[in-house]
Parts: sequence; structure tokens; C-alpha cells
Amino acid sequence: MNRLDELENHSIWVLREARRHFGRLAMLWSIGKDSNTLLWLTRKAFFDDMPFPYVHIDTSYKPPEMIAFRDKLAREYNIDLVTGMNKKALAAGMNHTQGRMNCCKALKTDALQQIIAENNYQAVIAGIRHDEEGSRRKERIFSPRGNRFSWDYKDQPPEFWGQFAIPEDETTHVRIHPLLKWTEMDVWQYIERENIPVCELYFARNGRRYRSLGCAPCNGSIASEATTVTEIIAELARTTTPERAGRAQDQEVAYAMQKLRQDGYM
Amino acid sequence: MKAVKKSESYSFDETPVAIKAVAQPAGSEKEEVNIVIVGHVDHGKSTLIGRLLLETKQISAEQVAATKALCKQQNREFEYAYFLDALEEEQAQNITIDIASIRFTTDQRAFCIIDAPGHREFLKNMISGAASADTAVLIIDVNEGVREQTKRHANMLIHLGINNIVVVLNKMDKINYDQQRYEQVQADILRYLSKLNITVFASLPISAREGELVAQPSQKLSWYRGPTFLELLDLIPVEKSQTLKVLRFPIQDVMRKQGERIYVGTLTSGELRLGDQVRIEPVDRVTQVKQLYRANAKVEHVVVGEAAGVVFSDPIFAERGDVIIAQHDAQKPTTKVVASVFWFHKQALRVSDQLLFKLATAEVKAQVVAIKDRLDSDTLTIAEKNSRQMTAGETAELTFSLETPVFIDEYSHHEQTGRFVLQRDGDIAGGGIVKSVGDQAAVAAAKPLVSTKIESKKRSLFKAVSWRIIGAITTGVIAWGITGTPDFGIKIGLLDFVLKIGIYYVHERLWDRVSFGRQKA
Repeated sequence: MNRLDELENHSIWVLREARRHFGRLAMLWSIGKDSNTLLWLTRKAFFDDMPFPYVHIDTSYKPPEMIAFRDKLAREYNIDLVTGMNKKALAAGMNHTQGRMNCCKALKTDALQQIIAENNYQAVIAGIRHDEEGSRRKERIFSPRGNRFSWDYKDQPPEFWGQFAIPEDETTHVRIHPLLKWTEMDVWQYIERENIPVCELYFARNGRRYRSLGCAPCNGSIASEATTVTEIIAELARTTTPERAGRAQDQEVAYAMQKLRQDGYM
Repeated sequence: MKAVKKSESYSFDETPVAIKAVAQPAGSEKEEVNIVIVGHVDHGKSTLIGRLLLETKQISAEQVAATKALCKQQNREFEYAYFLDALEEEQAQNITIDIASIRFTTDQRAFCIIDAPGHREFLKNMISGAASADTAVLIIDVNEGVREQTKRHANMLIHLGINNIVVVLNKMDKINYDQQRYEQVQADILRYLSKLNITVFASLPISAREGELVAQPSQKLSWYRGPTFLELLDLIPVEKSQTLKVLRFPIQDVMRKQGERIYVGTLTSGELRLGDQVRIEPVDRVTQVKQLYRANAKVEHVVVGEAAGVVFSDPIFAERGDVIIAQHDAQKPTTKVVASVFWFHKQALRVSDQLLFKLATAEVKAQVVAIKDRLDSDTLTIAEKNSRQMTAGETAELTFSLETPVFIDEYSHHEQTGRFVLQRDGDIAGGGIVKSVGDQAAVAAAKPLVSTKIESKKRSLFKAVSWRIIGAITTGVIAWGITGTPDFGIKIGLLDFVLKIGIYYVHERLWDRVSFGRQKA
């Protein structure tokens, strides 16, 4: 069994554990390559069914290509799409000029918190990976969150031999991370092997492409000639630049991601 | 997926040139190896990994520049450990709080290197990392020598099924690369590890901070003849789970699709084909495989490690926790288990405690029947043959009685159906590997729980007092009866009480020191 097979089998197993343990379960769908890979794995795990809703947190600042891609896929795969938006903050004029950390917190973290509370989700599946950045490297596959959404990274539950912490406390929700052990390279190689649809913004146009998708004002593109998945894989094999280098919120302050994520950011 | 059981040591007389001859794994795929770095606080685990990543250029130039800037801003020397210790608290306090894993490749292997925390209070995190490792590197500060967590981590490795490791003696720069000191510490750790039955594949001196013998040969350590740490990584023998032919398919869930009941799960051993006759335990039902899935695709054959689905030809009611095995497999479900257990919950585990026992997909209530051969958490030597309790950081051999029968293997036969975690009040509190099950376990359990009844001083004193009260009253009454004088009876009684109480106490304590005629535990 090769590495991609091992990762696929492991992720399917995690998804089935999630479904087994949580009745009120949802998947976070950022429209990026990782959550599309998760969508693909969900179909594999549940015999082509989509047994839970897909939550998209819409900050209203996403590029139109992402939204068009989302709607097309939702129709094609008959996805139960739930969109969350912090309308109150947007009405009050929230945007990145008020500080990127504040903006991410209001339009992403708070919007997610609202939608979890509204639908009373016990667990949400997210496509984060260990190799993205330092604080995600510390994550567990099943990560319980405090009732104020907080991630207690200094006292995480033990996790080994495929046994996960399932909190008995009703006030907390659990983040489930089936792609945690995958790398960026693994994801692209799997996308190539399985022919998984991804948003057009990943492919170079006029010598530039996006390596990581996010809100338009805070996401920089990279110089690239890669117009196919195969070319992206070849480019990744050469690069030394980190995946999220173009994401402005990561560079805002020291330990930015840790600070955002301890409050419940994805 | 653990290291080989047989001892297979690297000979130090071979020259490093011979090392290169190790065969490249077949095909273009590199061999995947999970390796955990363990050891005492501050002995250099994160620094070694950071140095290795830097020297082999597996860290981006941007990340190196960012780390340099951060260290300069904090007014400190370049900190290799920062690559893995990414949390603010970890960097500020110079400790590793939680595990971090990083991928690292050589020409031959693709490693997942797991950095484990060395503080005792983060033991549960260390276990979370080490449990997924195929092998381990035990690192020791040669200046400090073998310390408490060095021993504790080594002892944990055995309980996680890792028994062939590499020993690294770090900070050789602090002792001026002194060979004598190196050999002294090496002898200490080898002695300890051999007691635990851990095989040391190789041990070597390094300086992680100075980069001596990490990825480059060292002039300063020219007296050491052997490979560098980097070269050793490709040499550590790792035997991935032998593709055992014996079928083990723990049922994870039941799904319905087009009127069919599909039993899903991951094969932990063996293979399954369409038409196979199978038995389901512990319900003890026999049926045939009518349909098979690998993920969502219909197939004729599934193997170990695959996320599978199976439809039976008979309408059988099975559920999560049941195991699909070959029809004539001799293994039976059991309620008696003897296992090597480690415990890390704040609250002690006591004999007769009730816990949740989770093995593969099965969950069952379990009662602790006996705690034997407890390893003391401070001295790390066997503290008691039979104990009433064990505390966080300790290991022991436990006997469990399960509420209902569960299909369980011995760990040495099947890893995944031979290991379990223990849950208390919703928290994972410990774990263990199964040594024996069923009748064999029942025999072990039948041995007396508490065999030596050593009296505490307080207890002998109380016994002496109560005995003397009865004795003194009897003597007094008899004296009164014989002499006919109640006054004399009372005096004799009191004298008897006071004198003999002291004699009895001294007598008891003296006999405690004599081993004559005492039965062995």
C-alpha cells in the first residue's frame, strides 16, 4: 500500500468515526483544495452519500470565482449547503483595514460560532493539516473545544492507537481533522490521482496563481506558470516558500495563527 | 508496525562505507518510517531535530530567516528548537509542551519525526506521539547522565511495543568530547535498557547545537568509529506490520445502502474475499461474504489496512465492536485479560476500580482484579509484587475482568486487537498491551492478591492492647477467685496489662525481621 492509499484509508476511517459518534455533525467547506479533498473522501466513506451539511463561512470578501465554484459543486453533488455570515459585523463595516486579526475573528471565527450555536452542532470536520504552520502542527485529530470556543493547546487530551476523546460534556464541540497527517504535496498528488475538481484560481493566469485560497484583500498570488495539477506538483517539488506565505493574516503579528486559533479560528 | 523483535545490532567495527550498501526499497516509493525522539527535559530533543532539518536543507530559507529574526529580536542565540516548538509559551519557556511531527526524507526513507515533550507533566502528550512510532531515539545529556524521564520514557516505549532503539548522547561539547565520560554514561543507560529488555541498535555521541556527528562527520569525535546520526536513520531496522494471513476485521459501523446492511471497518490483519466463510465474534455466528467494498467501490478482495465494507449472505445482527474472523479460527472471546499497563491520570488506579476498556472498536466496562509488579514512579524499580494502586507515570501488570466477552488477541500475535486504552469519566487515562487472555489469564488472576501480610507498627500495637485487655481481665478475675480478694485481683490484672503489652509489641517487631518459615509472594 502506498502513502496515498494509507492516507485515504486513514481519513475514511476518521470520517466514519466522526459520523458514528456525533449525530449533529457538519463539515466546514472553505472551497479550497483541502476541503474539496475532504468532500471527495466523504463520498468514498459513505457510499456516495453526503450524510451531513457543508458549512461555508462567507466573509463577503471571497473572490467571485470561489463562490461560483462552490455553487456549481453544491448542485452537482447535491450538497446540503449551509452558509454562515456575520451580518451584524459586516453591517457595522468590518473589513481588514480595522486590523486583520479583528477582521478574521469577526467574519470567520464569530460567524462560525454563530452557526454552530444556531444548528447545535456537536462536531465540525475541518480540512486543516499539520504541515500548514506551527500551531496546526500541534493539533489532534479529535480536538475538543471549550464552551467559549477556546482551544486549550496546553492541555490536549491524549490520542493514540486510534482512540479519540469524545467529551461527555454537552457544552463543548469537537473539531475533527481527517487530513491532519497529509502534506500539501500529498493533497495535490491525490487530486491528480483522483481527478478531484478544484477552483480555477489555483491555476496560473498571466504568470500568476494562488497557492492558498482566502479573502481577496488579504491573499497574495505567486509567480507561476503552472496551469495543470501535474505542473503544480512539479512546482511544489522545487519551491522553498511556505504554503501560507501569501496569507496576510498569518504575518500580521507574532504567533498570529496561534492567537486566532486559540479563540476558535479554523 | 513496530520495530523488529529480534536483536539486530549495528557492529561498530564496520566502516561507514559499508553502511551505504543497505538495499534501496523496491519501487520508487520510499519506505515510510515513524520515529519518535524521547528523553529527559532539556536533553536536546527539539534541538537535534531542528539541527537535522537545517543541515539537510529541509527547512525553507524563509523559515530560517524568520527564526533568525525572532531570536535576534528576543536577544538570544539561534534556537534550532524553534522550528518545532512553535507555540509562544514553548519558545518563551524553552520547553516542548505538546508533540509536533515533521516529515523528513533521505534517499532511502521518508520519515515522520515526532518530537516528544520531556516534562513529566506532559507524559500523556509524549505517549500520544510515541504510540504511533515504529522506533525511537533516546537522547541523553552526557553531562547530566541518565535522569528520571530518561528512564520513564524508556519504560513507556516497552509498553508501546517499541523494543529496538537508538541511543544518542548529546552535548558532547560541554564535556570537551571526552570519550571516558561518554563510555561511562553509555554503560549506565545500556545497563538500564537491558533490564527492560530493550535492544539498543546503536549508540553514538553528538553535539546537536554544534552539529557534531548530526549530519556531518566530526573531527572532535574522531575516536568514535561509526555512522553519523543521519546515516543511522537509514539503518535502524524497522519491520512494518507483517501482512499476517489471519483475518481480523473489527466492525466500526453499520450503514444501509439500497436495502443492504454494509458492515464497515478497517482490516487490522489478513484479507477477505468474496465467498469467504467467516465467523463473527463474540456473537459466534457463521456466514458468507456476499459483497465487498474498498471505500465506496465494489471489489472482490480487500486486505489489511483498507477501509472496507462487507455484506453477508445471511441476515445477521452484528454491531460495532464485533470482529469478523475466519470460520475455524481457534481464538475465542474472553472476559479475562492480563496486560502490561501504563497510567497517566491524576487520580490513582486502584484494585476493584471500574473503567471503560476500549480495544479496536470494542468498548466494555472492566474491573481491575489485580495490580502486580508495579514499577515505582521515582526509582523506576519494581516497588511491589502486589499493589493496591498505581499512580500517574507508573506501569504494572494488571488483570482485568470484563463485563461481557470481547474478542481480544495477545499483542505479540496481533497488535491492533491486542492493545487498548483505559477511559475514566470520559478521559483517556492509560493504556496497555495484552499479555494473555482467557484461561491463561484466569490462572494468572487466581494467584493470591495480597500474599504477605506484614503488620504495620500501629496495627500490632492496637492488637497488643486489645489482646492485653482481655488477658488482663481474665488474670484479674482468676486472681480474685483464687485469693478471694477483689483488690488483689485488680492489681494483678493491671500489672499484667502494662507489662505484657510491651513484651508482646517488642516480640512482634522482632519476628518481623526473621524470614524463617515465611512463604514467598
